[in-house]
Amino acid sequence: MKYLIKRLLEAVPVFLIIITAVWVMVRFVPGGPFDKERPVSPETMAALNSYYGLDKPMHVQYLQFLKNLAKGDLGPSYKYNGWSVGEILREKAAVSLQLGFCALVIALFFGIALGILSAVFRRGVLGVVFSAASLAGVCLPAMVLGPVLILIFSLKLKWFNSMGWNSPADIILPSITLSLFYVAWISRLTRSGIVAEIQKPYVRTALAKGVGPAKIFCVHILRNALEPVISYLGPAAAGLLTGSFVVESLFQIPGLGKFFVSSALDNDYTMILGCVMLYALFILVFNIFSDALLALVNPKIAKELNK
Amino acid sequence: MTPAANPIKRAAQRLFSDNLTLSCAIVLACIALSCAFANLICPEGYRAQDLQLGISAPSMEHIFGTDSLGRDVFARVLYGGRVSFAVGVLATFVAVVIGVAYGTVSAMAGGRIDAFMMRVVDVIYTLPFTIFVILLMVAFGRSLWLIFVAIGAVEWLTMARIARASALEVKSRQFVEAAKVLGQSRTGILFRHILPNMLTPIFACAALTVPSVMMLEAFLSFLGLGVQAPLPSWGSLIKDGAELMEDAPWLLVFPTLFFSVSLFCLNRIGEALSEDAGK
Amino acid sequence: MLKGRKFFLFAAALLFFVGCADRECPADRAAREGILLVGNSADPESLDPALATGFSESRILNALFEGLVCADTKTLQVRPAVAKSWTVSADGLKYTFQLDERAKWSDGVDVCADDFVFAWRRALRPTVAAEYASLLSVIKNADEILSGRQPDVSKLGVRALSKRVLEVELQRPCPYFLSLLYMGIYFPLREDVLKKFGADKFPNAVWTKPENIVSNGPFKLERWSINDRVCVRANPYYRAKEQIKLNGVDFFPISNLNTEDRAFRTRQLHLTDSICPYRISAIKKTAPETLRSDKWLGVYYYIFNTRRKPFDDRRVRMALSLAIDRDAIIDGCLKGGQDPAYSFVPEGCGGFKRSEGIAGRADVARARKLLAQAGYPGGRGFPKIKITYNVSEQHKPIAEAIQQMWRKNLGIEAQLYNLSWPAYLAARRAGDFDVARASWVGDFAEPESFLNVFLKSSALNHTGWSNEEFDSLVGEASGAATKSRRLNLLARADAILAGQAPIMPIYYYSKVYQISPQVKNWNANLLDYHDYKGVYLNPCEDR
Repeated sequence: MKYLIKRLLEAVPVFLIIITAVWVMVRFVPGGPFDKERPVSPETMAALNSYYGLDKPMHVQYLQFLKNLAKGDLGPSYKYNGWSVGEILREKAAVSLQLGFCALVIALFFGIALGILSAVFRRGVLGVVFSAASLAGVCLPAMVLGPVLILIFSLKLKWFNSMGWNSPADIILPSITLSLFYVAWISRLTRSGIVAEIQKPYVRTALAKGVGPAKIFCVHILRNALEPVISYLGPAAAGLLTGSFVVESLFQIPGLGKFFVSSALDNDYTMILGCVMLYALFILVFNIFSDALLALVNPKIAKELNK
Repeated sequence: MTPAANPIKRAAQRLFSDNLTLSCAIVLACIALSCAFANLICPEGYRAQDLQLGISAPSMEHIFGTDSLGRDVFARVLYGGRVSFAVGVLATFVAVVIGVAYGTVSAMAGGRIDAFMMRVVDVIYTLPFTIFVILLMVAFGRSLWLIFVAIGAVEWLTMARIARASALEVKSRQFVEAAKVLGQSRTGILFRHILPNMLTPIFACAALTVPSVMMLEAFLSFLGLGVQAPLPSWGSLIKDGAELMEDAPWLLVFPTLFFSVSLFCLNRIGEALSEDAGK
Repeated sequence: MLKGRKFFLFAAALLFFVGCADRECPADRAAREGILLVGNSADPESLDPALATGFSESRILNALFEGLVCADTKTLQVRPAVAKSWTVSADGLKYTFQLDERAKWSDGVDVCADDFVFAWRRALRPTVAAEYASLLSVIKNADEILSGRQPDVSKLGVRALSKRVLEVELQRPCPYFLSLLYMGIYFPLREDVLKKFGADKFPNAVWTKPENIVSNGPFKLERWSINDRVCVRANPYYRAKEQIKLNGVDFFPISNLNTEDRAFRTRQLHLTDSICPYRISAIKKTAPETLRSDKWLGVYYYIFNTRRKPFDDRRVRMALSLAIDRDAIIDGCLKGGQDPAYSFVPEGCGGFKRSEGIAGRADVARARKLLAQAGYPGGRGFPKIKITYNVSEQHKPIAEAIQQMWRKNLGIEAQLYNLSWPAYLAARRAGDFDVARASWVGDFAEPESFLNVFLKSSALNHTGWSNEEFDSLVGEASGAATKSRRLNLLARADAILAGQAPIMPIYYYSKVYQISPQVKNWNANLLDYHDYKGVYLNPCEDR
């Protein structure tokens, strides 16, 4: 508990540093947020800039930004007239959370299963098969897997819609596509964890004492071997829950991922900052969460963290 | 000499110790060599067009077929491999240089400086790299060099953590203590004892960074922010191929095959090395 | 074993949905309900008619609002809409519109002349920063108000003579004034609604949210979810309800052409916005009845930076333009039956006929000769040039083909330079390019909409080129007595542009898309203008 509070307090300056850095960075990108193909008169541009407060000196803008932020106001989106960044992100986060959670479950299940299998069958044909399967995710880009899945299951078999976010079935193909990369990582971590653990002396001692191999494996080895997986859960969850541009574009899903790319391409300053803050928030929260989980699994870590 | 001083020899031993990894190394070497000598294998180059021909299926003349502008896909895959490997290796090099320097300095300094430097890494970790890379690409124009630097600048973080951890570990070993007692200078210890012993984990990490950089390049290509056309990269070929996969599957299959096989081999080798490093 | 159970649930759900595979597809259900499903390339950036600028916005706005007049979707002839009749004074400066008493807002309030007066005055306020406000500049005093020289917006040449009579005074005679009136910036707005949301003086579009908006068109906004869809449903108070057969339209912002194509094939859309060129030949084989290619009032061209060497030399520009084979580009990269372009203004635009003597095809021999005359025989000594274009699927192959043609035909080495959209615009504006991709789609179907781009005073003219004769011909045309004389003058201006070659026209646009046979009365016109009148869906029609 003490640890959690300490982490949260530590997070605040980190947060400030990040947003300040990005706030400064976006202003060095060429072109402004209101550039259109048809150039507007200087008067119109000046009016737009003054409406959004972009005509004030940098430090005034920055202070204003911080003040609004303290009130929980991320400002208006420069691209979507009439929408605030907070409004858009809230709406899209709902979709991305569902999709990301589903993908996370898939990634954990298949990742751990493949990891265990490839650790158990390290040699021989089966070993090659499992390690190949677990590596598929880091070899096959989503922009290939996604269309292939759509081609097979939507266009040929007609089981699913090819795009959209309407029925519960629409979550299946995108979450598989999204999870693939994480399946690979999780299985790699699981496998190396198990391999390292099996070689430790306590396993041999337990075996010698007559404890059943299944029990040793499930209770001791797996528990310890999964520690790296748990600590990877933080970044993985943040990555999955903020969506993916590729998957969203292939399946036309109204998630967050699009904004992580389009905001930067369109110079939508407030949206860039909103995305950065959201991501940082997710990382911080899920890191704390996975640390807490680690502490639950391993009391030794809990003691160390609370120091 | 300090123990295990020749990590290259050790890595080689590791590679040849199991069949899968060995065959991966051979396949990877074949692909890399044919890409490196693309200009000898396909002297007509990657941009010779034949607009009248347009898309055509694999044939004797064009063994991988041709793309929409009538360009030979085989040549483009080989030249694309050059670019992808170049991005992968050079960006990894950038990441290794920054990461190892940063991690080692942090570990050597210790104490507060160490804590601060690692805190900085944590902060940067919380930045979403997509936005970061896109902003870099948009802000500084688009050149091949910038892609190396931008990706390298994103990928050095993990390297820094690993370098620091292994530097700390090596630092605590007896022969370093001994060297200190013998009165060797800090830089001397660093270069003569600590860095050579860090090479195995760094090698392993680098071998895993190369494929993830290549994947990142493919992602940038998906956004249209990859290398400048008409220069191909595997990422941009796969992107273009995915758009035509039903009508001209060879445009997707061949680049993806080369890309995925290379990534698989790199990952396999990386894993083998890191298992070794873990021992 | 929580994980195991979750997986079990997941698998059960999967099987359940698979079992429902033969469910009614979205296009059929929507057709039964009278809802048109439309692919719309991008999210609307604003639904405020004064602030919206793009094509994806105007499609939605035409469903939500209605101006004084509308256009026939086949011929683009002006038809009465909110104004049931009008008179024009003899000097062509004063228009008086009689409004339809049936015209109502979506909350039941009457549409009156003051709504137009308010909307037009608002659009010209500098603080509203409406980017298309210059389209109002034919109205008396509009330019003064827009530039801030005249702070009193009531000086604008538009007055409500009574509740249903609107009088408009023009700055100068404008032969195509009525064709402007069905553009978004001329739509009426409700002063009380905009005031309530602080939008009467500022570009604040909160009032356009579904829960706030009040509109006067055939549909009202029901849902607007960014990156998801915009839904409009029939407006019960609409003036001419009998002409509207649809119950609603759903717009999907699908930017990825392949995603849109797949959505059409899994029958989730009735109508796509566009099509991936390489799919065309396959569609011609499998479903030719769904493929449409309509002439569209736009031109795709490259601009030369005439401030830079060697593009300051007309012969060089001409040589580069003559050396490319437009037909090969269209057949190889576009495949949609587009017309090659050798001059700027599309034929048939407001009756426009281009003048004789404009080169009609590639002429490599002449191009080489011109290049040699300019001092670069065989491309020797020619500097390495850059082709700047923005990130997009269709620009890359065209740029690659042109690069190759210049290399092969002229021995000129060009480098492709691909930029993100804001960076590309910034480069064009700053004149930081050698050759840049550009395109122009007419706002209204008259040649002026094109030629005005290259006036010396035009902010759109990034070439650095200007020509007094060209400017004076275009100026003279606006005061021309007869239509044929006006078109004649404009054709001469167009010929000067083609002869001086500050730009290299490549092809005239065609709108190439897929449409389900269920959609009836979806007419084609040069402006891709649709008011949804008469469009209906026949659910029985099978694809």
